[in-house]
Amino acid sequence: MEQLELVVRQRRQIAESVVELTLGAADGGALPSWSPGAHVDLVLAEAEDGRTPLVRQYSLCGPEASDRWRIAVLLEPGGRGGSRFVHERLEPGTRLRARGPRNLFPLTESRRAILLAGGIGITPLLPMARRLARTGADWRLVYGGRSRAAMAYLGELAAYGERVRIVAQDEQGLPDLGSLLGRPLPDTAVYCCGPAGLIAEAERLCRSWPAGALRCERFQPEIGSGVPAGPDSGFEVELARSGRRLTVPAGRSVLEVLQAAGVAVLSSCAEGTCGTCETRVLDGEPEHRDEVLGEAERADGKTMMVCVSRSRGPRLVLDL
Amino acid sequence: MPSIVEERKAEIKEIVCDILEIDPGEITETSLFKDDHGADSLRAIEILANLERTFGVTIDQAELNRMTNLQNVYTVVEEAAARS
Repeated sequence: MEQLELVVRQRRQIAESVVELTLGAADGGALPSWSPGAHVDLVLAEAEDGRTPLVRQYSLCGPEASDRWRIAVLLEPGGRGGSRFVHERLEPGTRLRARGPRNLFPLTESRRAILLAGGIGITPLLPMARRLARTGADWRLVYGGRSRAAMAYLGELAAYGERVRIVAQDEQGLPDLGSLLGRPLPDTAVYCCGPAGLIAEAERLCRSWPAGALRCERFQPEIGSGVPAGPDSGFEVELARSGRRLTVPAGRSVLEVLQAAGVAVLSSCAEGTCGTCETRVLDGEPEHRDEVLGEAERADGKTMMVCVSRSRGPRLVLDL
Repeated sequence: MPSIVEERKAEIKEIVCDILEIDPGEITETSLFKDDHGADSLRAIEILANLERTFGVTIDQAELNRMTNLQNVYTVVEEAAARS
């Protein structure tokens, strides 16, 4: 993935506790293209005083323009500090490093698409709606939020008329997903991004749907799932670029061992959900414990998330 | 012949108008959901799901092809009610 130098060009309060940042290339050049559902890793604060850099993922929610990206960030006082940093410190002119874009939540071709957004989960779905509006697909966006004042992009979404259903909890309660998802529909993809409650409800309703029909993007790392139980075992990691060999003992992650050895690896969630620490595997067979890679990518074994994934054999060779 | 649907036509019409987001005055028994009222296939699914929920009936998904206007919806609900 490309490393980029960005600069904040514009900052706008677009809803209660939500700021939108328009980002451009620091050198004024073109930015890489992206597709709806994509996110970027932003290095909000560089490593200093022995602290690891503050890296967060944000969905690109702007028009697919080549000279600017747009992200929207909800202030989460109980969060781990990324959103507070964005709200308090990022101003027009602030420079920051980025990696990406990467798309783990792509829009696929289908006759029908149902988009379910909760709160700031609208961000990856907004460009999807924009794209769907240009195709002949039947699509619907159900967008739930605490109150209209807290919901970003209501103005832009008004352009899509009846395709978009806005459900403000303080007026109408929670959105009714049952009428759209109550029965499996052929050739229909469901995209869901929002808080855990919304995703759980979508998963419950889509249980009878074909596998893969529902795709979710989570805000928070999902604890536990995808991580097989059972004891870890130790193994050796060889760094191909330097020839160094490191021992990863049971109970420590590859990432921890790499960081302790001073090897620079970007990471963010440290729980196998964000994809930031994806590292190329040159030899050996990874034991995947992340939620980023798809089945085919897992089987391929060419990359791994070093924050949670381990090794099936005694040795892994990484492209580091 | 009075039927269960006869009594519920008004209710069905209300559900349909609600989902199509149109005024009851805009719809007739034979105006077409798709061609006259701009409904897409998802709108039809919502109509079906709401009818099932409101009337406690089960409507086969294949009936979507028939549910093109109010008159046909009355018939589909009537048949579904007769079966249950």
